[in-house]
Amino acid sequence: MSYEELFRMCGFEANEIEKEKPRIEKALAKLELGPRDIESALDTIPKNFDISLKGVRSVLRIWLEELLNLMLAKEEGKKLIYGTAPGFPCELLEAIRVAAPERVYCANPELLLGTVLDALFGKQDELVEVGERSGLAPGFAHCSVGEAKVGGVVKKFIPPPDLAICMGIFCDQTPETEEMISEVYGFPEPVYVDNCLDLNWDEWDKIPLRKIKYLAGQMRKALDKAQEVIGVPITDEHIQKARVNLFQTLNGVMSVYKLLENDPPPISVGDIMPIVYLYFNPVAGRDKVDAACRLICEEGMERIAQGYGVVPKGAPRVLFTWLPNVDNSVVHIAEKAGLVIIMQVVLWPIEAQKKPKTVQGPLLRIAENYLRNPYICGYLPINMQWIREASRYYNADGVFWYWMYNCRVQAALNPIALRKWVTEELGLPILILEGDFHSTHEYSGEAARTRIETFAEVVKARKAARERDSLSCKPGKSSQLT
Amino acid sequence: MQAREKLSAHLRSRIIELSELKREGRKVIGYLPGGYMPEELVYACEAVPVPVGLFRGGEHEPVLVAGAYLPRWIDTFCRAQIGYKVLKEEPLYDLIDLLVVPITDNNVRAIADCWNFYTDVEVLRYGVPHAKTENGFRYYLEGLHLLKQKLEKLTGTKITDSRLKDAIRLCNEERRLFQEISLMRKAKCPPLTGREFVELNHASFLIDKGAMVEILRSLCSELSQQESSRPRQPRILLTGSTLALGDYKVYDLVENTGGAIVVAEEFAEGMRHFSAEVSLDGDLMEALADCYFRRRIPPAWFRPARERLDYLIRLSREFDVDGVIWYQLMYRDSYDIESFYFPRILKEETGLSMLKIASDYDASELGPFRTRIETFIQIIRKN
Repeated sequence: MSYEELFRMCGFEANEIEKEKPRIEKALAKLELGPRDIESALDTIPKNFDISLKGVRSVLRIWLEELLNLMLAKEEGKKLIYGTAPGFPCELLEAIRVAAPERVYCANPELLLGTVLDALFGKQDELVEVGERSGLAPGFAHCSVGEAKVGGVVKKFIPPPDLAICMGIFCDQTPETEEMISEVYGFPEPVYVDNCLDLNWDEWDKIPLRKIKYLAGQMRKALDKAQEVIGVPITDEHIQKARVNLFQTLNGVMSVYKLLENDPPPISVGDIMPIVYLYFNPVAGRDKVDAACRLICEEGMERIAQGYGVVPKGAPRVLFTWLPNVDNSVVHIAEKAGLVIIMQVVLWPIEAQKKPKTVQGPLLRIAENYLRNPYICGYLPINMQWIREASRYYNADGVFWYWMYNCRVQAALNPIALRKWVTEELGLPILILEGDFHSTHEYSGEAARTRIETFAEVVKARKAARERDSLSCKPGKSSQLT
Repeated sequence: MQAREKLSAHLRSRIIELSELKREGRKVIGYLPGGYMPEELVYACEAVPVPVGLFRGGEHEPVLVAGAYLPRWIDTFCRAQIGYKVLKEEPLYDLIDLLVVPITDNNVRAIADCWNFYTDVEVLRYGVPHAKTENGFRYYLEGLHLLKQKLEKLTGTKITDSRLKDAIRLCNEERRLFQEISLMRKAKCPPLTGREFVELNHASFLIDKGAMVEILRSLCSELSQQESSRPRQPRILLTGSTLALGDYKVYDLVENTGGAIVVAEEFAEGMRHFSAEVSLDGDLMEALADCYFRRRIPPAWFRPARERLDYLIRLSREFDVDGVIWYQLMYRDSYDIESFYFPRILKEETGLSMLKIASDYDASELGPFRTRIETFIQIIRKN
């Protein structure tokens, strides 16, 4: 099987493939992707994505382009600067890219590899296994994205960078993994963006200034280091441009999400996953992402006009945590069971996030924005507030809390407490499903099919009863630890 | 030994003492003993610090029970603390007026959130940055100021410099005495076992500080007069994330079954740190932050990790250690990741071997641990 068919499937034209041929072949060789892998991808991609949508194919194309760029950046004379998954704060790498677009290539390599190698080729687990033998032992619930990164380093899929910026703003494992990679595998010592998850429960809607200043200072430290590496100053103007670029992309992503509000939604939330992750990963030219979002919206509107839906009309809606970037079978199973996955926690702003910023200066504002985000600041009360507000706004019929078992942030967010609160305070059915967003090594959607389908029946029955009897959510009291 | 008998007596009566102090109107301040909450601040406002979260560990039942309240993929020690609260076996957990949680990582954050969610006890958090930078120091210092304000408001007692100095002097004296006893373990035949030292260290979190200082003074005197003609035993450095009161299985296996002795240990949580004293010069709050943040040996979740690893190597040399046992609890990632590459560094720099064991406080671990520890001791004995 030739790679041309694969690249055409992902939105490349024949003359573009011909022009990129040397780069494509070099990158595929480095990634050890041969004819059998291509054949597998040609089978996998149509199962994972709706490639009848040109917009979806254009998004897959962007990911493939970024993969080529990552593999060849150093050979092509660029400075290579990494962030770490999931990519927050995204503005840092975007600002560096904006300051020196011809000189530097920025990426979150594990995100890039995960999205392409797994969603397209189904090969992430191989990297995870190598990572487990190379420092992040199995059985200790290490983050699989970290395992994949270590695996990518060992297999030389991830080239050594000129600078690694470790985004430890809510994660403990990432900084430790990055330090290990530096110590054992010779990558340069990272610069760490640190944060303390010490918001008290009465502070969540008024972030203390000292926290904002600390995080902003950490970001400036990382940018100062980047300046040294690339030899170009990174100014407030570059940071502000980065904010504008990302805001534009976020608008595009949210406009795609808006399609899901239609009854029935015209596209699967699994097709939105790769676009969402393009918000978190630097892209050489965000206008391509914005164009892809517009295309998907146009195609979605056409489908709405034709009455086409991926779930039956009147399907119940559930709030969702975070889309996995590999194996979107969980969301496909939920949709096939008749659920609409309406919104994920990291994207929809609560009222407190929409309040005017209390600080001036781009880095301070970026810091304040992230500290207000329910998922990123990792606060149980803020996540409760998100569920409360989003469930009202979308008239949600349930909550599907899909969480990553090996993410200590998500474990500490305490799905068990959340389930109790949602059930007692909001009266909504909630499914807590443990899984892995970055590997199918331990968990897969198929293993959870029965639970998802049962939950879907519960939600459907409840929605039917509500419509029949006009029931509303009744508040309850929280249980005490007894 | 008289000192140990006095200590036992104090420990037996401590819960009753605390209950009486509470009835008299004294505030009881619970905290997680990770070494980032200065007890001096609590003493200076005439409250009583108690280590909620140190008092018990090592048992599996609380860990199991905690499964109904938070997910299992959180550090074992942190889950156990929720379990002990649920089981209501420890009256200490129900005595506190305020829980202070210096936030070091997500596992500790989970404890704070559980107390907030499931109880009516007020919880105060402040952050511990993960690097000893100037900004990190300032951030931690701001957290201590928050703590000071909260304590003053709760107790109605102003923390003056004079009160704070008295508290610092008392705590410094305790640290100095622990240092003195610790250095006795450098001897060829240490006058006390590792378990005895750890029990002493744990007791210091529970009983009245003044009484503890007196006991330590007596003990220093008693120990310095002890003589022993035991043959040299294999000497072990024990390190890990958390050593809770009651979690002594590794000590028992090393010292009773294995015929070796633990001569030094380094743990981020559960053990009192005593190598640095708080300065009485200048700004006292800065002095506290300097001692508790800058000058203490950092845990594994600090960057760069080499400071702690170099300290372990130094400790190995100073205490003439024959081997290192790395005792970690499940799902404390920082420790597991470092355990991958520290053995190579240890071997290169000292020639010493390391045994890593990971516990979920499960009784079924004892058998495999015994085999592995005994084998390790045999190996280092031959070397």
